[in-house]
Order: sequence, then structure tokens, then C-alpha cells
Amino acid sequence: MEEKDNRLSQWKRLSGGSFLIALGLLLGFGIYQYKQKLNYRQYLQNRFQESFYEATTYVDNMENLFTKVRLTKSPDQSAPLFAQIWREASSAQDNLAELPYDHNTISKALKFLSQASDFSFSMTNKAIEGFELDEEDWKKVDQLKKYAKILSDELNKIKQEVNDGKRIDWEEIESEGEKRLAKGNTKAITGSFSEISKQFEDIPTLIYDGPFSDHIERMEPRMTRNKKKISKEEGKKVVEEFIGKDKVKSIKQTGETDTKVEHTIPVYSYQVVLRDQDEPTISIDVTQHGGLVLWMLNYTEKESTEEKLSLEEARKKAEKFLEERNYPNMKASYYEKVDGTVVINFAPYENKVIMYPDLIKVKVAMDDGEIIGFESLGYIMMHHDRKLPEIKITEEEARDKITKDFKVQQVNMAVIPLESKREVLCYEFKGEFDNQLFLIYINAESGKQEKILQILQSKNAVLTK
Amino acid sequence: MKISKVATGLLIFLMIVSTSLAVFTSYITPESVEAATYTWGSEGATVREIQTKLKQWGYYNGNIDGKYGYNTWMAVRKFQAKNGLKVDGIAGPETLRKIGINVPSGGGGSSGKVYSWGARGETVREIQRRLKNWGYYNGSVDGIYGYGTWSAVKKFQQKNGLKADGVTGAATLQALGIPTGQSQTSWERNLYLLAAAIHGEARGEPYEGKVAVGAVIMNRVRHSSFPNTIAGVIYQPGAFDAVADGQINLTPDDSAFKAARDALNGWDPTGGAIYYWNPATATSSWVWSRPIIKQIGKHVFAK
Repeated sequence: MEEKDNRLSQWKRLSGGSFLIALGLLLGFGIYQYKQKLNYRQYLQNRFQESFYEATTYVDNMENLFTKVRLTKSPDQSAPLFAQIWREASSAQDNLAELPYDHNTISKALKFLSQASDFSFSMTNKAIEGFELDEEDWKKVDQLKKYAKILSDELNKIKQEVNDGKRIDWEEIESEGEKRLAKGNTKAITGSFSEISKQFEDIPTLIYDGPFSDHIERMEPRMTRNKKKISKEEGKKVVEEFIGKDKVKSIKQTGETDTKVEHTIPVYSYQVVLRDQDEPTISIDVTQHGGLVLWMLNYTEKESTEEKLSLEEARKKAEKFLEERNYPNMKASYYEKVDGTVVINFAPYENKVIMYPDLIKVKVAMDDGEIIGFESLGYIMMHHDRKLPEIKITEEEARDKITKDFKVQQVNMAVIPLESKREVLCYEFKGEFDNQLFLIYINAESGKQEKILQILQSKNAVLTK
Repeated sequence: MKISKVATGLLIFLMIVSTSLAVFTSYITPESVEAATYTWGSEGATVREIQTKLKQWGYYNGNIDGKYGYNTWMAVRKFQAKNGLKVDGIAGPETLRKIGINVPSGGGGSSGKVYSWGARGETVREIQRRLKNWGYYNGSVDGIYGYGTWSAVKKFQQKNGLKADGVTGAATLQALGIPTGQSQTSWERNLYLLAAAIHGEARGEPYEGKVAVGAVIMNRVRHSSFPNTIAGVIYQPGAFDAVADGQINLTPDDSAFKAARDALNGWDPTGGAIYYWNPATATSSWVWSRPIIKQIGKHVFAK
């Protein structure tokens, strides 16, 4: 009995001791982790702080430069200033986007900065070409200047608060942003962006010749506009014919676009089970107006990636596929070969002019020549009977616009889309410089050099850059 | 009797808590931090090397077991204090250099990616293809690093005077003639980043849903109120859960790469969406104010 008691108390002492050690270890571990966390947190706060200050500085500069631009009279005076705004606005956008505001709060400000930068770039180009800014342009400058001032004032207000000893708690901003919106609670947080986003609510739409102009979002698809709306059953027939009656086992309609959504092409979505399969392996979207296939993807896992077809054979298969589906006269431009498949880009070739905006992409399996992908957004958005402008520049004159170091190998006529989606008729010169292939586009009306593309040639691809 | 029972119970409980905490915290340490940094819970050859060196110099007197525990931590601290480094017990790049251990990344800024058992993807496929061409490998070119690939790599390494461990690191990749990180074109970089985002966000979604997530990222790049690069869009704070919780650092699988390629090539199953969320788990209420275009798999896509 006594021995047992003795052993018990020994055991008690032992367990008590190890208990303390474990507690100590745990405590140490906890403190260490906590310290570590503080370090990381501070680092992150500093990074955010830096981005905030950078953004503020760039916006300040922007406002200042917009005022200066207003004081210029001729294109050669305004061009360098617009070039500076282009840079400052783009840097401001980069820095602002890195801050942990929720997107809803800052999206308007980000958009403003994108457009201010993009608009200034297009004005720089206009000025370089020697054109005076017209009244509309100046109106836009005034608008942008006004909003740059609002943004700059608000950012400086926040900066002032920080200088007065309050500090921006970025973690709070990150977590409060959504909560506040949900509850309608407007507790003032240092560094909050809600005041700014309110002022940016009614920013007018801005239309100009650049990729972020508001007109791009509003473009209407030319191939489906004013076309008859088809039923889901009719859509099913389109799918059946597109894939091939003999190949289809069943087609299931899986979804449709909510037609209330603006600026999107309404479609019916289908999934196709092929004859030799049990599960659907093809997804395909058909436009509700006009019944055109917008895109198709066959995602069957192929066991072999063996390439039995040559590229030429694959191209012929794709061409035949397009012709049978009522896309005649399509010309293949560039392609990319990956993992036993090749994606080939096609554009219509009409009266010896290549219509690059009306792009269709076809994906071919290199083992059996099956068409496993189709994408025609470019074609549906852009394809129409174009009235081409009169050619005012001869091929010789156009060639003279290019440096003598460029060895021309081939000339085509082509309609190309600029980044603003504006289309221009050009001479396409394919040639060599420094052992590399390039495409140079010279406007057939004005003689302006519109674009230079580098052709990347490898074993697997001919791509443009 | 009772007290001791309670005490042992508590002790066991605490031990379970502390070990699981240790395991857990080491698990959630971001991979990018862990890459060239060794601390509590780290294991492996480099830790062994640290211990060996510190033992030689008398800082460390525990076992050389390759496990970074308290003793190693203390020893590293002592070493740091003596050598004018920041005393935190963490063997980061600075400390490693002072100890005389080559940082795995080689300092060239390359990712120093290593392929071994369980690795998947395009590079593995390329490894298999080359080994097959040269007669080391006779399995299928499936992009999965299994036993067949491992033993083929080992054979190749033996023949070529490399360390024969079956693991394909930078040296083996170079011997195979597969370009390592540095010579990636911007297109390939974007492809990898997009594949990683798709893998982190839409693993387990149908293939179409994966392409859709990639398409949303591409649509954002072209949209004025988002950053104008793929990296900018993906790493925008709060934009993607997979970035916030580090799942973007997982190695993308084959299907994610395929989907990324389709999205980069312009396939857009979403009809121009710039938002998507999972209706079952969405925490933010304002996303519901966006006009929904359609649903693919578990995600709804919206303008």
C-alpha cells in the first residue's frame, strides 16, 4: 500500500513536471509565432503604405499636367505633356490596384486612371501626327482634369489625416470594406475610399480612339444584330449539324444567357454525347439570334498525342470543316501546336483583301484530324460587307515608308483592327530584319505605319507578337 | 489517482495540441517563404547540413537528425548572434550563406523547380518524351512522375555522372536539354500563372468551368477598371481566394494547363464575364448585384 502511494506521488510529480515543461514549450512557441506574425504584418503595412503614397504622388502630378496641357496651343507643345500624363496615370493605376480595397469601392477610380492614361496616349499620337486637338478633345481634357483634382484632393485629405498622427490600418480597410457595405454603417476609417467612390459615381462616359474607351464595351455583334431569335430546339438542330449527325448520340441543353444582361451575346449552351461515349465530351454555345455557333470545345482526354497528320493536312481538314459549315474563303494565318493539337487562325479572304478582324480559330487533333475546338467571337462581332476606302497610296509609296534594312518578301492587302477596334485598310509587308520575320502594316489611305508585328517561328508555332 | 489521470489526460491533450499546431503552422507557411528558409519543423538534407556545420563549430550538440527542433533553433540563434546577423533562429538565405550552404535557388533568381514523385504537368511530359527518345523510359508519356519515370531518371543520372536520386532538379533538367525557368517567354510565364490560378480556383470543376475561370482573368486584363496585366489581375488584393490562401502555389495539373491555353487562345465560355463566385460559399453580398450571365459547374459568372 505504501509502495503504491509512493509510486503514485512519484508519478504525480513526474507528470506535473512534464506538464510544466509542455506548458512552457507551448508558451514559447506561441510567443515566437506571435512575434513572427507581427513582423509579417508590419512588412505588409509598409508595402501598402508605400503604394498609397506613390499613387497619391502620381495623381498629384496628373492633375498638374492636365492644367499645363490646357495652356498649350500647338500639337508640338502638347505632345510631350500628354506623354507624361500617360505614364503618370498608368503608374497611379498600378499602385492603386495593389491596395487592399474591395474592388467595388475602387473600380471607378481605377477605370478613370486607365482611361486618363489611354486617352493621353491617343492624344499623344494625334499630336505627333500634327493634328490640332478639336473642341471635343478639349472638353474631355477638362473632364479628366476635374476628376484628377477630385481624386488628388481626397487622397491628400487622407494623407493629411496620417500626418496628423492617425495611421491607416490596412487590415481594417480590408475587412471593413465589405462589412460596411453590407450594414450601411459609415464609421470613419482613416484611409477609407468611400468618399472618393461616391464622387466618381457620375463620371461621364469617355469615347476616344483607344482600347479602354467606353465604346468597345457597347459594340454590337454584327452577325446577330436584327436576326431572328431561334428556339432551344432549333439550337439543338444547329448543334447536331455542326458536330455531324452521324457522330452525335445525344444533345442536352444545359443553360442560356439571361437576356437582361447588357453587352453580351445571348446564347443557348449545350452538351453533346458522342456515339462512342457515355458521358458528354463537347460543350457548345449557339447564339439565340441567328443560330450561329459561338464556340465549341471537345475535351475528350486523348490517350495518344501521336502526330499522324502533317500541319498541311491539319490545315486542309480545318478548311474543309469551315467550308462545309458555310464559312467560305477562309485563309489560314498563324497557328500553334501543343500536345498533339494545333490551333489555326482563319480570316476571310475577300477580293484579295484579308479581313483580320473577322477571326475564327479552329483546333485540330493531330492524330485523327478531328476538329476539337472552334471559336468565332471575332467573326460574329465584326463580320459584314465592308465598303473599303479608296486606296490613295501605291504599293511603291507604301514601301518607301519602311526602312531600307527591312527585306520585303511578300505583300498583301489587309483590313486590320486597331486596339480601339477601329479598322484600317493596309498594305501588309512580310519580310526580314536581323534574321527575324516581321509584318509591317502601312495605311493605304494615309501612308501611316499602323502596326509592326513580329512573327515568332518555332518548331511548334508561327505566332505574331 | 484522479489527479494523475487528469494530469496525464491534460498532458496528452497539450501534446496533441502543440504537435498539431506545429504541424499545422508549418503546413500553412507560404511556400515562397519556405523555399529558401528553414525553421521549426523543417526537415531534410539542408537541415542536416546546417546541424553538421554548427556542430563542427561548437554551436550545436544535439543529434544530426535532419529535423529543425529547439536545439537547432537555439544553435542557429547563437550562430547569428556571434556573426552579427538578425537573431531570430530562422535559417534564411543570409544565415545559410554565412554558414556556407548554397541556397538551392542558385542565386540566379530562377525558381529552382524540382520534379519528383507525384509531380505532374508539361515539364514532366517533356522529361518523359526525351527519356523515351533516348531509350531510358518505356512507359507512357502521361505527364505523371511515377515509379517508371523515377527509375528512368535515375538511370539517366547514373549514365551522365549526376547524383542518381531519381529527382529531376536544375542540373538534370539541363542535362536533358529542357530549358529551366530563365528562358521562358512571356507567353509561357503567363500560361503558367494562369494555369496556377485556374488550378487553385477551379480544381474539381468541369473542364468548361476551368476555361471559364481563365477567361474571366483574361477579360479583366482587357477591362479598364482592373489592372492591365495577368499578374496584376491575379494578385490584386482580395480578388481571388486561391491567392489569399496560397493555393495558387500548388503545381497546376495537366487539365489546368490545357484550360489556360484555351483561355489564352480566346475561348470564353462565360460570354464576357468579369466576376464569378460560388453561390454556396460566397461571403460578399455585393457580388449578387452584378448581372449574372450564366452558371457553369458550381460557379455563376457575371458582368
